[in-house]
Amino acid sequence: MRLRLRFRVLAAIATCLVASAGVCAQQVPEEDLKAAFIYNFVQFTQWPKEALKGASLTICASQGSALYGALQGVAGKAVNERRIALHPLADAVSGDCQVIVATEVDRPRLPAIRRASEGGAVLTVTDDSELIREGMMIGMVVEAGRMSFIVDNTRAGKAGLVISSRLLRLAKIVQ
Amino acid sequence: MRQMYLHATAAACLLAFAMGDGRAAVADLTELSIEQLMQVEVQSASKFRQQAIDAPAAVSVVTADDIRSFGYRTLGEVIGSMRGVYVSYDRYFSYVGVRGFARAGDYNSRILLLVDGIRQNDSVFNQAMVGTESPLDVDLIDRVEFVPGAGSSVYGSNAFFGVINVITKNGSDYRGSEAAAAAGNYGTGKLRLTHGAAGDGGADWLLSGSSYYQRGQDHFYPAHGGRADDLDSDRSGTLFAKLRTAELTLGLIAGRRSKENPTASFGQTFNARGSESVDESASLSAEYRKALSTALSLTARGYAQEYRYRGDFIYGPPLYTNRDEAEGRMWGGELQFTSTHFRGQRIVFGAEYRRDDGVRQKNFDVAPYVSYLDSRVSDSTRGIYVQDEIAFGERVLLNVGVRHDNIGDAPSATSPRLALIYKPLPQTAVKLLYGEAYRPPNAFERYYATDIPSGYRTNPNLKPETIRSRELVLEHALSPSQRIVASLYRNDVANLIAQQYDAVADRFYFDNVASVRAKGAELEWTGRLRGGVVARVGASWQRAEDGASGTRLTNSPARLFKANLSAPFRDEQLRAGLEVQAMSSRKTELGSVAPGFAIANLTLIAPKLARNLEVSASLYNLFDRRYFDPAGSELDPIDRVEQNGRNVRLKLSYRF
Repeated sequence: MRLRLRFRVLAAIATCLVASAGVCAQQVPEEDLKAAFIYNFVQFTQWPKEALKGASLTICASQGSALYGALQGVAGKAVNERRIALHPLADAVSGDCQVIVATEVDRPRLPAIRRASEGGAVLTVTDDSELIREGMMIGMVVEAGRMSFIVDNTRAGKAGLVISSRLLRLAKIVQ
Repeated sequence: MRQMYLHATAAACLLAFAMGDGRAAVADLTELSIEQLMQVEVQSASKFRQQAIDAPAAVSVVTADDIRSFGYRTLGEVIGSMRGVYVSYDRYFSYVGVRGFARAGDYNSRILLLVDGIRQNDSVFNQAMVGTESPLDVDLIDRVEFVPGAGSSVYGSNAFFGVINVITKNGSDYRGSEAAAAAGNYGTGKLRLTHGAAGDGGADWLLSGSSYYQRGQDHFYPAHGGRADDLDSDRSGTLFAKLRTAELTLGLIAGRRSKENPTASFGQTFNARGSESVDESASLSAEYRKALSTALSLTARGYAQEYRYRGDFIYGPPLYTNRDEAEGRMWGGELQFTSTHFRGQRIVFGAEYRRDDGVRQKNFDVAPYVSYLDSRVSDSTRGIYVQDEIAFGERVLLNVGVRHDNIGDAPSATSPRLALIYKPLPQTAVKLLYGEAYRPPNAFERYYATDIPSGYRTNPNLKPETIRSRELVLEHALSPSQRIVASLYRNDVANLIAQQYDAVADRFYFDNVASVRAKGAELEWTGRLRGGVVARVGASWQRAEDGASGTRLTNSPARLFKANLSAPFRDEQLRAGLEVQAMSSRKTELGSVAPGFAIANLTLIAPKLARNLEVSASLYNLFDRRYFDPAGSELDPIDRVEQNGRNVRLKLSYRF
């Protein structure tokens, strides 16, 4: 008797869980949404001419991160006649990346990121609160179920990047 | 019971494989304008934290979302949900068992508890407080990481079986006030008030206070042939403050708990009013982080902790109170440098100084006053350490570390660690780990002696205990949202310190009791699935045995099973979290058995029932199973302690 009751409760819970998956389909997985935001950041950023070599614009991210998988959906798309390429952050050297996307797993690699972006026109983007504090140019934050972002325009300007005023207007905080 | 695991596991697995990870969605999203994207709802009610595949350990992580989803009330419940960990409760303190080790009278001194990088184990018992005695409210936790294995190569003493690393929330997580109230069975009530604010330039602060009360239950103990009436109350108050600027973090954690003891431990008179323990502590900490150059960064930490304990024990008739008092002040500092000067290498090196000042232990009869113990000692520890993480190309990572500690008059200790991490694929890591750790006897084990019936005597020959741990780990991401961890390990403990009982003299004492060896296997699958469903299923098998006789240790289950499943309903308006925990039987100190059990806990949350109001309801021990935890020898003649039956908690959180 006890066992049967238990089974029924569990079966009900399992059924509800499966049903709920369909109900929530209109919501977007966080990583996918972040990848789409990064695609927009790239669109609204202007690099100095000498920083863009060849026909591609390279985004560097850690292969271990979930965001890397989502960014694969952006790779190959064209932005201002340049194709977006995705490159593992771990073996990037200075000059390889136009965009560095750092997540929580990259906290220990911060000095390496600084070195890869130093002196070059590299847009640094993160979704990690610690790394925002460590001086990344664009920080993505989830608030009340919506994605927003903050921009350190001073730092971007120093690196020779021009961020469109349309993006700056939408940013929650601009420094 | 077995059938129940099967259903829970089957449901989890079905969910896992029925849903893909849907990468195609990204391409569609890029068609939207950024203004439109900002209106899209993020599916992140329960975040699946990416774990560092490069870490030289098989790390477990539980986040604030998990704490809400599964209704965890204490840090012990949080870590008890993790791979290879189990927590026992004797209605006094909560004791953490790791990979088959859970020793009586241990007070968690073999686990190092860090909060925001600062050591919390006190200076008398070196206790990691994880139950209601913990001065940190779990609502303020952002995430908890558990790093199993010998961790002394970085952290020094007490990082014996593992390190619990608690990261607390920040002012920016609140940006306003929150009031929370909870009520539950056994006359339980809890209140919390929190305020957090974030200023310009990255500075923020958080202030929070909580108070908790539980009237408790009347417990029947067959060994005493009677019921302990109204002797189970649990009261606590805690305070937390944190201030952060770009480079500096200041923290304060303070708490006081008083717990009545219904078990008549240490030979007390059964069912006598007045038996209780009071634990108080206050810790201040400061952490300063600065990048000295592009290749060198500094972390400086300073901390001070005051700890006080009072235990009242009732003997007779005629009834009289015997009182234990302990206090200790601990302060210290650490300088840690991280260098990436050499290509492909990350070198961490540092030095720590810690002073345990005025560690005082007293034992006396209250009236008429008779003193049995008044001991006062001080101690200091100096440690230096270095660790190098060397990358050989993309695929191989070598992590080598060693720490040397000088501890007062005890022999110095050197603790090495070696980790080889091979990544044949970016999403796969094979880790070969070796580590050594030590734990010197704490002040209680060294100096506590009372010349009373069932009292303690000292043991001048007590030495530090040591452990050597070896582990082979496989971590593999099946997809960006699914991950498996498999581990095979072997631990060898030498000179293990355990509480012994000298029946002739009727005295407890601590001794280095021979050796212990443990081996085991762990397997865990974690998935963040479509529709916001998060699942984790894990099982572990272990055998921890006495080195000399080969018999299984007490309070050491052969098998553990855990499953956690959380899913949103009705557009995230409701979230359900189901947890199943099971373990096989455990031997008790008195030679009997605490039978194996499986329990389920269910939590329902409505994050926005009304504007700014979150309501959650939890049912613990859903099927009202009767189960027991083995008792320590100090509870003799009680061999096992019955745990709570089905109970409920209702919680409301209001933001304003």
